Amino acid sequence: MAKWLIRRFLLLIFVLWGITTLTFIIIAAVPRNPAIAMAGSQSSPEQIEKFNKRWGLDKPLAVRYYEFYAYLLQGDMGTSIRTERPVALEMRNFFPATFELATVSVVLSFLIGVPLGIVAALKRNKWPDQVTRFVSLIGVSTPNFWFGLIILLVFYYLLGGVGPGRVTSAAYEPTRITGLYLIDSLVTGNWSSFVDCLRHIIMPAFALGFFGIGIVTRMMRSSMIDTLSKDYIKAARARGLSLFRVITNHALRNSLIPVLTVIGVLYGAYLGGVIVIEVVFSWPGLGNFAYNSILKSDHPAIMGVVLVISIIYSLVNLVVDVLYRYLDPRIKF
Amino acid sequence: MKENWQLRGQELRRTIRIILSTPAGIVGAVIVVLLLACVVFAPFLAPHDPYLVSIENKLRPPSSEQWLGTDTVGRDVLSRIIYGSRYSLASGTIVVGIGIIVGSIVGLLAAYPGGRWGELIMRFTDIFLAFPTMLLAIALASTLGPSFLNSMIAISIVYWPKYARLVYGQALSIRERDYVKFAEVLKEKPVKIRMGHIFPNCSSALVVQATLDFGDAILFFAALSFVGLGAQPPAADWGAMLAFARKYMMLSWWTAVFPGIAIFVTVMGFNLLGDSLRDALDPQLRRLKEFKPIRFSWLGIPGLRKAIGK
Repeated sequence: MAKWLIRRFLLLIFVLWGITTLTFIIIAAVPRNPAIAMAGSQSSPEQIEKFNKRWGLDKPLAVRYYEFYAYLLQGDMGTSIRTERPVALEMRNFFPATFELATVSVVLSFLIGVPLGIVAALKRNKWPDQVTRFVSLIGVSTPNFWFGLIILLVFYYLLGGVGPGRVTSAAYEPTRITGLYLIDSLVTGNWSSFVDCLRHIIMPAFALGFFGIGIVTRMMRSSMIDTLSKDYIKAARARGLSLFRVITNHALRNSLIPVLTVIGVLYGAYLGGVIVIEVVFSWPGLGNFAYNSILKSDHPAIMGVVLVISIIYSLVNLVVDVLYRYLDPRIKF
Repeated sequence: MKENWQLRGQELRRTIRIILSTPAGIVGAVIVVLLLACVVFAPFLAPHDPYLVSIENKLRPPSSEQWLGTDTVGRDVLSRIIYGSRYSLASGTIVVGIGIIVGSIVGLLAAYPGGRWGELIMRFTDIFLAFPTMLLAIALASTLGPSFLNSMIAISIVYWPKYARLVYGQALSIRERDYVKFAEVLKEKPVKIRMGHIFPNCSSALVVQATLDFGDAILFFAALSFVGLGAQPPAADWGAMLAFARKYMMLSWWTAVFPGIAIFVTVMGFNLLGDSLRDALDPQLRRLKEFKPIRFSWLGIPGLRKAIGK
């Protein structure tokens, strides 16, 4: 176990190094100067030179590469050219909103996908199975940002429900502890704030998580069919246990194991897709921050977002791997 | 040589027949054919000029005159959607095309003759795969600068590693086959072995993967266009139309609804077609399919079908 963990961790560091280097190379290779995007195309050569000096863009690439890591290891991700605040601080401000949204989306995909998958497995090749097959096809074919727009159109503009954003007004914001509003409001016992946050997160989370419902359903279906054909299930049924008891007590846990690996895939998809969803729903998270940074060619900020999201993505995958091995002791390390 | 082509023609007809034997395959094929028709005959199908601005006609709801209404500057939505098929098909073709070319070259070089360098190349491509693809594409497109061409480059950079993995995996098993060993004995050049013996045997896996990815690539491109990194205004592109519609959504639902439906239907068409193609080209599944009427598929004995006769 320890040996496997160490190897897995070393691989993680290698991947993170690769990702940061890749991002650095891409940004350095592009002759688009952030000075022009920031100061305007009419700026004089002296202004641009001053700008480059201020942000260290005049130094040789190797030096910039070295400095990037030297500062990074001290927890310093540079300063955002757009907001003129440390990128690390911005990440701390924006990250919880994104993490909360992605997590609620993953939870939502599982809450809807797992029961649908069980039903599809039990009614194999009958109409409930066909319906879930169709739903999952729709899920992977729908552009999530468009689905978000339609949800907003129907529930906000037509039905007058809650609007975009994380809370209705600043009055509903809970006292900041973790930055995850749902948890903060629960911990502080701020019930009205919790309800407001929940009502706000449901729409973007559903728009983001719709894609995963189909995937979880299909995975759950095939895994459940596989489990139900096992001898111990037949034995349990033969002992006279009802189908419901057999599923909840015997089949569910075992068939959930392969489905858990999907969490990693879903987090990856959601953390990437979150950018367009956050733009649609004016969600104050990393995605919106990245979008605004992109518009201004704010390189340190873009690097920061890429780095933070890929670290989270890799860590989530590591946790899922550990969990998978923990739940299924047959897997050798 | 002539017989070779005849065989291929037979194989193609067979594949098409299997695809058209399921409802899903038929729907997928119909959608893709309709899309191709829109791409080729856009000037004849579109009732109006997709770029013609007429402020006095702005935000007209759907009517018998303009079936899907007009947008904020009075352009006909239906015509823009028909012309938008060109951007979508182009994006899918370019991304998947570059992905196949670059991915195959890298995968073949890494797999044959293999060894330490091959391993190293694949470790490098794994870095790309360990990354949330959408995020990487957006970061790339934004550093390159917003334009259609740059968005294509960005998505292609995200896509090729997938094909490299696929070709690498296939090639690893193919390089152990007897005909490759035979070619080695004949001292054929590695390039010839890669292109003449290994690559043709990866092609059916590539075709299936490409069709399944086509819809995915179109979705990707639409998302980039939506955040302003893809096709630039006034281009008649579905993603860009949605970005524009977002601001006026409560005034004109039709500008937000119809381009999205166009994306959805197109992507679904390619997904359906890809699924049926996989069923048709996967030898194991193919056997299952053809056995269906006789219900002997579970025996799983190769060659049994031939023995029983058609």
